[in-house]
Order: sequence, then C-alpha cells, then structure tokens
Amino acid sequence: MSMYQDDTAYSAETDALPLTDRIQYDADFENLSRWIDGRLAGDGVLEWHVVLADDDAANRMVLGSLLEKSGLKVTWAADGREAVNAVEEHPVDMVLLDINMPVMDGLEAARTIRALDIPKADIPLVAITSDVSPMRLAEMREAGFDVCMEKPVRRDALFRIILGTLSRRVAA
Amino acid sequence: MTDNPGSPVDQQVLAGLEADTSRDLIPELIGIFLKTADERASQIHSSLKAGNLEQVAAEAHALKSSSATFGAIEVRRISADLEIAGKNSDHAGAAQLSDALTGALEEARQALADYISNIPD
Repeated sequence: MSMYQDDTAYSAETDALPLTDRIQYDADFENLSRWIDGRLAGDGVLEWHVVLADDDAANRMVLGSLLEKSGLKVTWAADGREAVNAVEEHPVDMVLLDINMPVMDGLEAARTIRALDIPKADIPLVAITSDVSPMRLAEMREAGFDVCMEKPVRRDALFRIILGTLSRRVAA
Repeated sequence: MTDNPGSPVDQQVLAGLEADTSRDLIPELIGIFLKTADERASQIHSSLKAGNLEQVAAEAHALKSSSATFGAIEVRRISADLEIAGKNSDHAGAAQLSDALTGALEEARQALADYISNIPD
C-alpha cells in the first residue's frame, strides 16, 4: 500500500491538508493539552526541537514566537539550506518549511531531508505555504511532506499537528 | 470579515495574532512586517522596470503571505493579483497593480499604527 493517501482530505478542525497517513490531526486535544500543561509546569520546556524555515522575516518571527511561547525549542532558518544544515547537525523532532524560499526552496529541502540516513530521513515534515493549488500539493506530496498548512497559520491548528504527532512518536 | 468594515486592516486577524504570540511583541512584529513589505514593494517596482515579471510574481507571492498574517486585506488582495499578473507576463496589469500597492501599503501602515497606539499599557 502506498504511504500516500489517494486524495488530499481537508481537515477543517486544523486547517491542515494531510499528505501522508503519518501525521496525526485527530488527537484528543483536551487530554493532550493537560499532558502538555503538566510538562510545562515542570521546567517550562517540552524537550522537542523544531526547525522553522521561512525567508520572510515577519512570518518567521510570528511562527517562531508562538512556538517558543509554547515551550518548544526552535531553530530559525531563512531558507531550505539552513534548515537542512540544522537537521544534519542537531537532533530534530519536526521541520516546518515554507515552500517559496531563495537558495533552496522547501520542496528541495524536503527531498534532501528524506534522502538522509534514518532516523533523520523519517522526521515529520510540515509545509506552511499560501499556495495550496492541486499542482503544488502534488509537488509537496512527491517531495515527502507529511502535511500542508495554509498561511496564515493559527496556534491551535498548528499545535494539534505538532503535539498530536510528536506525543505519539514519543509514546511509540 | 473585519470589526471595522472599510478598514484596510482586519482587526480580528490582529487580535488573533496578539493571542497567539503576545501583546508586548505586536509592535515589533508589525514593524518587521512593514519593513519587509516596503522592501518587497521596492523590489517589485525595480523588477517591473527591469522587465523581470518572474521576480515580480515571487515577491508578490511572499507579500501576499505576510500581509495575510497581519490582516492587511487590501495589500493581500493586490499582491495576489500582482502574482497572477507576473505569472501571466502581463506587464501593463502588473504596473497598474504595483502603483496601487504603494497606496494600499500606506493605508495599512496608518491602520497598523493606530492599532499599536490603541494597545493598552
């Protein structure tokens, strides 16, 4: 069976467009929130490391701020090359990639990460873009993205994806 | 949808942004948005003069995205049209939209300044 879904099913609850069946967007968010609050009540960090790549400084600041505010460790990247470098050099739990970026775009960055050795090749990849045309979604699927989120992204929607996926990976 | 119909900025989007990040951070975020938006608008004008419509489309795409994040409705609408004009190699249409973008950015700048000045201490 293909790892990819045949059709892109829009999830209204998360504003997410799943591209594979690896991303969890149906997590029990109330229980998850309690679990997260418990973790944050300790030392205020979740011990998860997310790489965020967007060439637009304003978008990068908005997303990075809301991720850090929520206790995640964030490595900021201005293009796909910097994101790939961060993945190669550090343990990373998830990568959020804009698609249209200079130097190396998000599609090429996703392909490069998927070509790395396991376990880095297996990192969940989230595309964050304003172009969700069918052609672009097909390109994202081919490049190895797990899910696409349309800009502007709200915190709750993004966290449903991040927490649902990473908490299950920890539990696995 | 805006709380203030006719406003160049969607107040609900800004309120959501404030809730997702922090009230203290909003002036800095808006400042970064306006700076990068000015740079992209300038790049659009110069790319248009150079006849590089592919670059016009790329810059307009980026501006469409960031203006949506900050609720700058009219800037977003013009950027989206500009991206299409660039992709279609429609130089005349892109030139008209590029001029309109300058005015829309100024209106957004004023509305965003008003928003910042109304943030309670």
